[in-house]
Amino acid sequence: MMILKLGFRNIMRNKRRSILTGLAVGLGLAAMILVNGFWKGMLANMIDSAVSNYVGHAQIHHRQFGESHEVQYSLDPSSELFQKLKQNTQIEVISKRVIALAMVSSSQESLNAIALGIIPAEEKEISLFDDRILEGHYPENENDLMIGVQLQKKLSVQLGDRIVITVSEANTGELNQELFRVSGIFGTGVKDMDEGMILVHQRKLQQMLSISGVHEVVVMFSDLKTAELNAPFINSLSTKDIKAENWQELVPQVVGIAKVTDFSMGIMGIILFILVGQVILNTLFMSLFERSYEFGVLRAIGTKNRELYLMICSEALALSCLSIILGMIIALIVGGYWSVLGVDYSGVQFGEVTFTEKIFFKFSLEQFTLYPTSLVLFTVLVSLYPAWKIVRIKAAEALHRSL
Amino acid sequence: MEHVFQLENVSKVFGEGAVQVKALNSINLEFHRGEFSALIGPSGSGKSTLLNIMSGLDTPTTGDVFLDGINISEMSGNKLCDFRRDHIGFIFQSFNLIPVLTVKENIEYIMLLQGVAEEKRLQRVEEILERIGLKGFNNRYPNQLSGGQQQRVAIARAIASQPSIILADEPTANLDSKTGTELIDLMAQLNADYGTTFIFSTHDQKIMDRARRLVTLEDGKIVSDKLS
Repeated sequence: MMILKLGFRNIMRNKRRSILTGLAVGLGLAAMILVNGFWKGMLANMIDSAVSNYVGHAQIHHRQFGESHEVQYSLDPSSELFQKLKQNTQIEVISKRVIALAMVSSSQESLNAIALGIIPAEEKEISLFDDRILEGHYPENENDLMIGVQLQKKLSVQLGDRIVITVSEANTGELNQELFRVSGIFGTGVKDMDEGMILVHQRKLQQMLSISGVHEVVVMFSDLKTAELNAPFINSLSTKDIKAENWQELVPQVVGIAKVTDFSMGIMGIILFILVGQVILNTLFMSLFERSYEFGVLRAIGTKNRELYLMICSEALALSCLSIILGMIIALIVGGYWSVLGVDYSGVQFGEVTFTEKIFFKFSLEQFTLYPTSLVLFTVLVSLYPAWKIVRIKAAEALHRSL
Repeated sequence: MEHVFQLENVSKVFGEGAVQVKALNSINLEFHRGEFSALIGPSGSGKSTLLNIMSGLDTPTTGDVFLDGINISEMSGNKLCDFRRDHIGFIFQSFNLIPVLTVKENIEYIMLLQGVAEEKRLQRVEEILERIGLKGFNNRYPNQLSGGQQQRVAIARAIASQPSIILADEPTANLDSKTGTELIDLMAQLNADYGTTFIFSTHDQKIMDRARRLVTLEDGKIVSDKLS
């Protein structure tokens, strides 16, 4: 016990050096915690943006529609698939979409766009279109149309202006045109949507395409965790003709980013640990070698190798404890600030996902358990080297000034 | 009289080849239990080397050193460490107390290494502190003591393990004359009371005057060995 006490008291012999070392190592730990928390926040934001902007927790398509986007491959709303979906009580919302490539023409310009045939009441529950309406309102009448803000600018149309939509009918490929009025303009911040998407009433689009089915079924559970628990259920809906996918399969880039994040955290951890190792080694070597005479005395009066190792390791342990306390305080303050106020990255695209909300720092247990514990263990491990150097000092040489 | 130390043909050579220095040259010496003796001689005469070899901190190039009949020049590692801890006490010129330990802890430390039970350790610390005139100084740190008080604590640490012999290297060199005399009186008293053998390496005339035996070294050889 006294050996441990000795180690702990020794770090306070040179307070300034110990505090500077503790701060250096603590800042390293804080950096690691902050980067991890920020990545976690960013990932959560990306998943949330991807899922709640448009994708949902799961999507179901006709297998051939998924491959060719030919409008005749639709799902029958009265089929067994929809019965199964309705029976799952954990599903909060089911939205059906009709999707078609359309020619959108104003008096000024004609452009290609994706026409999304929606049931407004369902779609409001799924996507963020209704939260991103810049002007006007959701399509209320059958000839209402909501348009992306970039597309609106390219077509030079305003609210209430008329637009002609042209689509190819299913099976025959005959062109079918209808006149719509701009009832709303949305701006999601997602370039592809704002530049190339229009929202119309589902029944109207079905009539134009001469189909009775839908192309896309979007499923939302209460939260992401429930969605992950229901992944097997979604997978079980796939058949020869139907392809049911969970959000991870729909936005693989987000999953990829999560893996890259883990990898980069690992690399950062290694770099940090090397730096920490150097700082600790320097401090210990400085502290120990200026006391080599004292170690000579300790040797002379009968301190064994094992006890010297314990003493030096306990000194490193004390130094690392000081470091992790400082590091965790810094991380708590800065992370706490970010977790409340967040960092505004809205509108920034990353990994094909556009952030629509602020990124908030996310605290996790591992940041305050795994990282500090690893740091302490690593520090103690690193201290074995200077300890080994010290135990090799011959007492007679260390004491040559006296005995 | 019973031998505590016996040195047989002890030589120590430093360096190799053409730069060899013979620090000790065929030393034959015996110290008896209860002696109060001093190694004297000019700087570089081999006093420190002889003390290092007697304490097992260094090994002789040739020859043997027996302490309590056991050849310590053949010992190494933990065995030597344990033997040194249990049989030899050290008093250094510059006190060399552990600065982060209190007076009590400095004295207790060596008993802790010996595995002495806490109750016994504390009892012994109290006894020793009273004996050396530092009762009530238990919780002071070395930097809160005068030089003389620090050297008293160093003596207390040396006798705490109840060694057969205490090797003291210039123990009064950093003290004023009055304090030095008090320290010598204390060590002489301990020698008389406990029968602990004291061997000094010194230039201090006061120690030479009080030592009952003076061994003079020159160029690694004993040139005189006188009882006073």
